[in-house]
Amino acid sequence: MKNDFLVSKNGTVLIITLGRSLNTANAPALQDELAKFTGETIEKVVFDASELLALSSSGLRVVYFAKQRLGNKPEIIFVNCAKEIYDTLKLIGLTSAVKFLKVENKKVVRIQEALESFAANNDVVCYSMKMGQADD
Amino acid sequence: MTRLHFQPIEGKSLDILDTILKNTEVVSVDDSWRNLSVVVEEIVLNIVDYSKSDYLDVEIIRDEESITLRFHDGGVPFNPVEKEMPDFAVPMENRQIGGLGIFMVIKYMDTVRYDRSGDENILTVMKRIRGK
Repeated sequence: MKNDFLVSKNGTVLIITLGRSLNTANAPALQDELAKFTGETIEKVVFDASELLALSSSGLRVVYFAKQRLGNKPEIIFVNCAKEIYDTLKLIGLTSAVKFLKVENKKVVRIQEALESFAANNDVVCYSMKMGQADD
Repeated sequence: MTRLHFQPIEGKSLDILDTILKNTEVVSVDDSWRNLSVVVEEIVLNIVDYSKSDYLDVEIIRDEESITLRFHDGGVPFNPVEKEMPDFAVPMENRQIGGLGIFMVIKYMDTVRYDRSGDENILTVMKRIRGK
């Protein structure tokens, strides 16, 4: 992935597939990419964090940007968040503002299906720690 | 111990980070504890973007129990330890990002110490990590 991320839009859901790091090397480029969607109807922003190992304040700036500048305060969802990333979000008090979702198959279509299922049970926050399991 | 010297530093943050994160002693920790790369990034960006120093020296000390990084810059006096921490009671949609990096450094590391010596800021951070 160029810049270690991919952005796709499915209806009103923006899906951001992250690589191993979201930091000062790639976060500004991701924010520029997300800025293209300002003014559009975005109800959910999904960060596929299946591969993510490091999240710096530059990366967190993008998460804030998604919440504050896209759509009308869209729901922020982290998929397959590693324990270290979850701990970072917890450290800065975001675990109540961010939903966490575990998806076995990392393909985007599966994420979309899981989101639809998740939406049907929106009161339930799913979180499962990824503890070093092997990739597919 | 490794000592790295960077001069000039303006606009060089990515090169500086790349050099530090490729250091053998840092790699030995970063492979198992990725937050070290976050800590290094937060400190280097802070110095490059705000210190107005034209140099940065970094000492890296790795032993069986810990890793210590000491950052020297000749910029304006700045004690990050005394910086006001972000207000996490503010809802996400209204938050400012400022101060988050320093907060993460303080939380991630076991020791964060600031000294002012002559015209230098010296920031020392240490993390206890077993095994080399």
